[in-house]
Amino acid sequence: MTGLERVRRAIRFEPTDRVPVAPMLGAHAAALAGITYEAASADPAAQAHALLRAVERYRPDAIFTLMDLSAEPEALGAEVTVAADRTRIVTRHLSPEALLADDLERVILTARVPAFVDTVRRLRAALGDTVMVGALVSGPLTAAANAVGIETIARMLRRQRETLSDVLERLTKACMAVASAHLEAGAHGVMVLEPCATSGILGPDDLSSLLLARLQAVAEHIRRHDGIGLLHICGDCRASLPGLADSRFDVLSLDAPVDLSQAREVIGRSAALMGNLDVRQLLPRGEPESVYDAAAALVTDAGRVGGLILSGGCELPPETPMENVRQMLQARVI
Amino acid sequence: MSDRSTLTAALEAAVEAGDEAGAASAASRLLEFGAAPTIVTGALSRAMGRLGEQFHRLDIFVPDLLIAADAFEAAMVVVEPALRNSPRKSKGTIVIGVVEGDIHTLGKNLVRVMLAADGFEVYDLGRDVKVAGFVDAALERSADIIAMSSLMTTTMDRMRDVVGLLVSRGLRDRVRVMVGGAPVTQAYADEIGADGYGEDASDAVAAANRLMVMWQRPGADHS
Repeated sequence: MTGLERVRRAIRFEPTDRVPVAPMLGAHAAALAGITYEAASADPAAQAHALLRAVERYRPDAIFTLMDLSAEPEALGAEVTVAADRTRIVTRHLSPEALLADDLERVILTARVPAFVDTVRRLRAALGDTVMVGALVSGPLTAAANAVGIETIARMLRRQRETLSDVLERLTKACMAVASAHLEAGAHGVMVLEPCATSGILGPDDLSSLLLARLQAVAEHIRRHDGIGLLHICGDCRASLPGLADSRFDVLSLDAPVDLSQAREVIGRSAALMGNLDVRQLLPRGEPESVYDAAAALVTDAGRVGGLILSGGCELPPETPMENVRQMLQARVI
Repeated sequence: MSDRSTLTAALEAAVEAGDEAGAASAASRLLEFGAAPTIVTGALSRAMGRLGEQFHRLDIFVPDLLIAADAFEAAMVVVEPALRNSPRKSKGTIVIGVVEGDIHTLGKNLVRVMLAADGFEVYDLGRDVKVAGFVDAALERSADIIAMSSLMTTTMDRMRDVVGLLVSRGLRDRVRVMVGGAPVTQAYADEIGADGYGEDASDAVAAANRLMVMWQRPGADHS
């Protein structure tokens, strides 16, 4: 059974020879290859090289592109700077009105976004259908928050909901355009990143009234293109799980604060679950035995009913010890 | 109900609704009615305290807390001139900022307002604050606490550097350190030798209060 088949079967709640494991390795893979985040996030050859070396080293069932939430905002016109640690951060935001332009679907495919599409193309060419190739794409709310600033978006949620709704509508179409580019380049799946849709920022009512229909549209768009749709939410999103169950994504990727067994009770079999070892403390700083135990517990508990893809709660920090990654992968055979 | 108590209730309601103009107006009218500035700050503190508890329970969310913070600050602009003439007793002095390399200010701003509402004297150093910037500001302001925020795993170790600089400059016993932000955990705070950790804005206020109770700096006077 190939990694791709394993992931596809898990999504359909069908038996697998073992639980698929799909850590988001982007930043860690770049560090292992001695490539800076700055280079990996602009040079598709460098990024693909790092990710393919990580595939050789760890043999995961899926590989995802580097997580870079500044790529789409930069394409939309926000100013992005390379920080002292060589990561990229948005240093000057746009006005919300800039996101009401009619050509966002074209503009968002500029700047460094094509480098990520090309990375997908290289990964698929090298891996074929042995390993699931996944592209990471900023969701509408997160693209808006990183382009105009999260505080601006948070205030708009209460004071300018109509304008925010218009912005999200346009960014939903832009998000679909990026997803299409990745799927055409050979991605088997697209993970829509919505860390800003976490419960602390976006309550269940806001999720239902402003974002859910847009996420559903993106999920259906990916499905129409025969792609696997994954939705990633950071932090504690327990309050939003009933809404997320209706998101129509194949997979919900959840962070460590959410108990996956409890999440399964809430969402039923509406989606496979992906996650959710702690990337804040356990994976970068924990003992290998602790990583193995936590991964094994997830496999035996949350994996009991199927529909589980073992992963971290978010992208692994670059400094994660290799042994901890290996322990996560070994736990899948339980 | 007297006019003053009606206005106090209106001020609290305006803050909780995130009504900046309403909060400023109620604060202004309270002062016109002869209320002491501490009556106004007391009402603001009660409103923000309730909101903090609701936020902690996920009954309200960041947007609600943020517009309430805006209303709080609008009222504080009105009351601050009067406070200068009759300064209130501060619980302690805190310098707060986002660590070097990080420009995510939302969490820090919410914590700043919640701390100020709870009666702390808060000096906001802004974002992308250099390691020495925290220590120098703490010395300049005779701060009891340095509060640091980071949203990124790549920058959170600047918190460790601040603790290290305090040690190397022989200042570690003079100022407490508290940390917070999405990637930061209690375990990380313990690991770098921080004294306090806040899971959210409400928790950060509780941590600051605990630090002030547990640790009384020799010679400190917050009256």
